[in-house]
Amino acid sequence: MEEQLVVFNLSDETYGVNILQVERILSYQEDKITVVPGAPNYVEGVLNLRGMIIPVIDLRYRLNLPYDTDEKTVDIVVVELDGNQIGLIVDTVKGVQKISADTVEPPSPLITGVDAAYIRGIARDEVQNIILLDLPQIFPKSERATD
Amino acid sequence: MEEESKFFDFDLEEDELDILMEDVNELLQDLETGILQLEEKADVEVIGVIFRSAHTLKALAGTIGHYQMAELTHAMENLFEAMRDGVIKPTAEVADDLLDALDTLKIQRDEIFTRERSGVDVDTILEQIHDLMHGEKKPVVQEKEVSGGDHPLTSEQVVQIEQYLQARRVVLEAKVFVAPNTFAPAARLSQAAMAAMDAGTVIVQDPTMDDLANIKHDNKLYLIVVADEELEDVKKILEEVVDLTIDYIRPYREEEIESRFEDDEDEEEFEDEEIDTLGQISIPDTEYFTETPVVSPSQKVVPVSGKTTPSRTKSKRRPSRDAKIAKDKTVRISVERLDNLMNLVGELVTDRNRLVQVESVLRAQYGKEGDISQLTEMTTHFGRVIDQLQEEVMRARMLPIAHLFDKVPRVVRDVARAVGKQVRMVVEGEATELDRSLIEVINDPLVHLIRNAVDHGIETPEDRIDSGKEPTGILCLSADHVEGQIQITIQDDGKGIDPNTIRNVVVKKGILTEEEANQLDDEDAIDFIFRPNLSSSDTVTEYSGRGVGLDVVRTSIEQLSGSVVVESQIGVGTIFSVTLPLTLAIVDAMLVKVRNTVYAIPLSSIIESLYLSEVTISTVRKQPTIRWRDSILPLLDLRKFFDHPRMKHGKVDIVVKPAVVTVTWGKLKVGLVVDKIIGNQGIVVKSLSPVIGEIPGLSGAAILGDGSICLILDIPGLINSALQFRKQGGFA
Repeated sequence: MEEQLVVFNLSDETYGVNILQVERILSYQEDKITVVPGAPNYVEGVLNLRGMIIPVIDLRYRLNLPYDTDEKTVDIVVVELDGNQIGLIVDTVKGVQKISADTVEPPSPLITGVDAAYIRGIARDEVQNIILLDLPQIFPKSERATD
Repeated sequence: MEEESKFFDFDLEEDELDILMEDVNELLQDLETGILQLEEKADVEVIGVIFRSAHTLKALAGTIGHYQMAELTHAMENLFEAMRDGVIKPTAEVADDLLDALDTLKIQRDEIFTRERSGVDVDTILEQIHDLMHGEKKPVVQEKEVSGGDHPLTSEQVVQIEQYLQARRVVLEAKVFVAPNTFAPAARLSQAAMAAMDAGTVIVQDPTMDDLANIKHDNKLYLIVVADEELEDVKKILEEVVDLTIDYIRPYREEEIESRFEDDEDEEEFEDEEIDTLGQISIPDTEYFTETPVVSPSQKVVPVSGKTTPSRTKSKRRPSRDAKIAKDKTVRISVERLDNLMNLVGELVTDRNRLVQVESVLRAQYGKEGDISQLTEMTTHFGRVIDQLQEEVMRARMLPIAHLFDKVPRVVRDVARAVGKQVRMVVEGEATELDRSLIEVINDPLVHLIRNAVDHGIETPEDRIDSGKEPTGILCLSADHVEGQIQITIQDDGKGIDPNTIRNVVVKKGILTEEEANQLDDEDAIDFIFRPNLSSSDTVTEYSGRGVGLDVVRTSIEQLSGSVVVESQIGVGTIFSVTLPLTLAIVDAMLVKVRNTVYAIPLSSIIESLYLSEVTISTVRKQPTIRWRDSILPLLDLRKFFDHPRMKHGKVDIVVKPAVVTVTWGKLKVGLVVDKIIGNQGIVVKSLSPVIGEIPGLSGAAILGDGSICLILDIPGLINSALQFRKQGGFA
């Protein structure tokens, strides 16, 4: 079974999310983001995406990753989760990649600094390991529930 | 009463106005729709509808005393009748004149509202209609006198009467008078004339409505009426007019029409209907009940008198019992009341949230014992009921989109005629419902897209033939519910948008480099038509005018929390899809700036605002306060409250003019200190994402005209958290 991923860099690691969860890629423009005081720390702010107000998440902060890298933030990956759009700030989107399900290994805390709970697995290919993010785990329903 | 008064003296109470206007607007809309349909198919049904609309409108105009309006609708009514009898063919020219007449009626409708004479030229229109009826220019004034009854007639009136007699219609002549010492004799005679108009078509009236309006009469009124009813019925109607004496009422030239009573069954095609509605056309006095039939929620609600189909004319003379019962099941309510209701529900929702909060505090403090568990139960039930209440009120505000779509054929016709296109309209999903406030605000963007489609999308008949299409373009307007939202599409089968042309313009305008432009896929390239900088006129012809003002369309739709996208295929056509939320919560708010962020404060909670430079701040129990109307007002500095690690402290790029906005919640009042007051604006409230969750002091966000986002202050929440924020400060 094959899966298509949108693959991006974040703090020197390569991550992937299923392409079906990705709505679009935006370029990161700081002045387009409205800061929301009082919001959780991992919320960078909100963004007007074609008339919808969507939150922009500092994924690095959410995943507890180090900030001290040379890479510069350039892209926002907009994903959809239960009808809500969420913008994820990443370093650079590298593109779309096909992986085969049999190359995916269960998450191992030894390989990455990210909490294993946020990971679906790790896809290995010749050149790199792609960490597959488990979006529903990163944004659990209880946190997203209204009221 | 005086001849040249600037104002009308209508017989109309202020509180009746809204409902009357609703009725009038509906009738005008029915007329417009019908007149436009005439060009396509002038069948009995269509003519019947516009005839009845004109008739009802005439009655309404007569009831309030707008005699010019009554006169014009009366003339239109006659024309429709002649059309039905096949005397007049509904050509494009006839439709043009009728649309002119309709525009005049619209001005007269505005006169009802302003009560001020607009000086609109009714005579020219009347003359046009007159010419249509008689095929040539003839002065309206009576010139040549021919004997007829005991009243002089013009030759054309005689011709007219003979036409009706040949069509085997009941033509009556009547003479009525009032005693010279009667109160308001002119009004009584007008009433009699109006009553006659209700009973049929008045061909001769002496003195005329204008004369009566100007009190030019000798206490007598002579009428020749093509009656829709029998003589006895007409007589009864006239007898009902107070202080009126009937001199005589008799069939006109009785000897010629004796045979007519034997076989008149087949010709009562649709007049019967009017009789049914006669008793219902008066304006409701004090109540909001009107003659609206019960229809399924998806249907447009129209008065019985406005749009009943001729197939229902079987029920003769009196409204059927069903109709009467149905009538009592619908209530027409003013928008203002609905809005008030909505606001009250809004307040309840806020209170509900507060109650839930208090309940959870109490429960945490005292556990689930006794009274607390009862409170919990009540709070839950209360919450559920309020949710339902909110939903019901929301639903009551829904209207079918037909209110919007009905106006479109006229726009399409006008644009198409102006630019020499042939367009056929197809409308789908008219019954789709959306919030009435949305209907009002979406009108302009939608009309813009439609004009655009006719003007630039659909080709000229010649071009269409050249590219192997039918000369008449098809414009399809449809509405539907999609995933809890409304989707409106405007689809044309025109020449489409060429993405390469857009790429060229984008490069030429210096928005993108050639390389960047070539990397755009077609969809993204076409999306550039919504860019503001592409709308300047020199680019218009280059890509067929698309893009003119489309940035404005997108901005206004996005302000309504909606979106607009375009799909296009060269040579095949273009589809604009507008997606809108079902309802809108529009709040009037004051926009203020704190650091670099714009906040909106609901106007309903603002008492007043002052510049900080005008007040003296003193500290009371460590709490900064100002003196305000003999009391001490605690200040909450939003610049500190909304501090955030990510807030860019260094660069505040605005001219700061700090102000205090005094807000209130219950008995609590707080002065909010902001950097600058921007101004007041209606905003569409949207929730912050569930990912962000509830934030103290904020109730949501809204998109401003420039596409930026403002955060909406939750005043109760803000005061509440300010109290916790500075518990030691001790203000109350």
